[in-house]
Amino acid sequence: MEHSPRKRRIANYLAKRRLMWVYRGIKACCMYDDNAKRYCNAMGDCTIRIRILPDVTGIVIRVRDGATHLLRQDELLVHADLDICFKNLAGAMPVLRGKKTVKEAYAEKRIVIRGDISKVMMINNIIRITLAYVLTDPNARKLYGEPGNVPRAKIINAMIVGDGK
Amino acid sequence: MRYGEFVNKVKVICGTGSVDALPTELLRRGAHSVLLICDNVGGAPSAIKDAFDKAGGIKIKAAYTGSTEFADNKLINELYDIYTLNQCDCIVVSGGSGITNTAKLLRMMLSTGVRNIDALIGMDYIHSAFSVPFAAVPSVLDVGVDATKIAVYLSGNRLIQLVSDEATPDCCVIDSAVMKDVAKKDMGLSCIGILSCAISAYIGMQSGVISDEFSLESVKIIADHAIAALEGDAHAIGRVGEAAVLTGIAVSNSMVGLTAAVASSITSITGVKQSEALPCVLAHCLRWEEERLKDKFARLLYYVAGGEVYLSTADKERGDECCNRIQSLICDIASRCDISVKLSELGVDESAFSDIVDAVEVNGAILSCAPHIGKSDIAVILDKSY
Repeated sequence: MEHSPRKRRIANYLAKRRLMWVYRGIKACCMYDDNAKRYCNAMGDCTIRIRILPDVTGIVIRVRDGATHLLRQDELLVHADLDICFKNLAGAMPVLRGKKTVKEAYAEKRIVIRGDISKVMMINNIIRITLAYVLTDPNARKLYGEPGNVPRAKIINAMIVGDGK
Repeated sequence: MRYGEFVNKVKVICGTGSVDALPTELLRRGAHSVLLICDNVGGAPSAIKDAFDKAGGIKIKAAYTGSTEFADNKLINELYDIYTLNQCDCIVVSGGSGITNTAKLLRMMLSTGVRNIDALIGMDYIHSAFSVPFAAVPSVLDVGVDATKIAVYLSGNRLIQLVSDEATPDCCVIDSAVMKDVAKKDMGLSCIGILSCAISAYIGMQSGVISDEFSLESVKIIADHAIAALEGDAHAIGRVGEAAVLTGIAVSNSMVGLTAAVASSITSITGVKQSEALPCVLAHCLRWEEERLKDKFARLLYYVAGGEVYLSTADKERGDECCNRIQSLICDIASRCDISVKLSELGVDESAFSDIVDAVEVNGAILSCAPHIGKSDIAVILDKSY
């Protein structure tokens, strides 16, 4: 279905906000959750670009010394070690809303990946841990399993009041 | 209707004497100078050379004989130089999975113009406007590697996986005459490998209606013809060859799952061959998945054991019965070919289990495993396989 440019702009804006929200979760989990921290350490020093095509909406994350940093918007256009692209918004939104896992999106071939697949698995596991903390409904438990042993309030607090960078 | 994608661009030529059709197929694609890449397994290279000698308008310009091991960046670059120096315009590969993967990587480099294969790592990322004609003639039955879009190479001690349509050959020739020299043990391992991949493709998250048909038919062929193929029956060997291609096409679309992830992690940590690790872990991985995917395994029983057994088994017991049948088939094949079905017999040490568990967790094949698998589940599977 064709949407007007204005609707597309709004949808892109919402997707971008969702993506930033998920990033804040990733950052908080990498700070406090042991499992997420372990995956983050294992990723070494690399840049990860998560994009939604074709409008180049996305974020670039720098992983270094077991911590994540958000890079500037213009870094979207330069090289990244790991590039995870959703083919379109329809494929990305269910993942960003927590209705589908990254695995399911990949299974539906909504994603193309450039870079080391084992690192994709690590970032996938971090996103799964993050959404297990953030989402509370029974369906999310089925999708993401139980959250780790860090109090959920601590993670959500870090997401809200943290600098998000 | 659920969103899905299915692609199969391999032309499959099968039956006795099908190698003779290969030159015509390549001529139709505009090729005249062939780079033949082969290993020392099976009798395919001589049959291919005979076919090209007989044909006009196309000839083998350069030939490379390699080992059965996976290639590294250096070897692929060496092949790139051979291809360009001899002004070849198509690739024919014959052999097992190691050499086929090497040829796939060369094709990807040629099609994209990239000299460093590391630049192509990823999934479904590569698109090229120009494509080098590429044909595969398997001389061993290696789980349909000739029809898959997955290519593997060695980077240091790690196996790196690339997933791209560019890795798929244009044409795959299945001729039982060139496969008759395969050792009995290799045939047994191939049958178990094909069975494992076909079931993984069927129960995986990415499976769809079309890929299911390919994988289920492949399971049926293996269940019906594996034992006869081990006894050297040419018809059965041909059928198993077809099952390998069907599995390859299914795996291209549905990918492999838990079993392949566990087996390849054992390979990367302990050095045991993946094909030898598969028979040890297959039954236990399937048991774990059966508890979570009962409906799928219930349907699978029809293809593993036939209609009569399916109808005479109670609805709730079909999944369990399916696992029992698969396990007994594996044990039957293993006993005939002297294949180990326990990791302890392969010399895998229990102390390596924690490293294997960590490796499985980040293995790309887990992406296709439908249920979420935790560390404790993987540890239990390894303990049972030991």
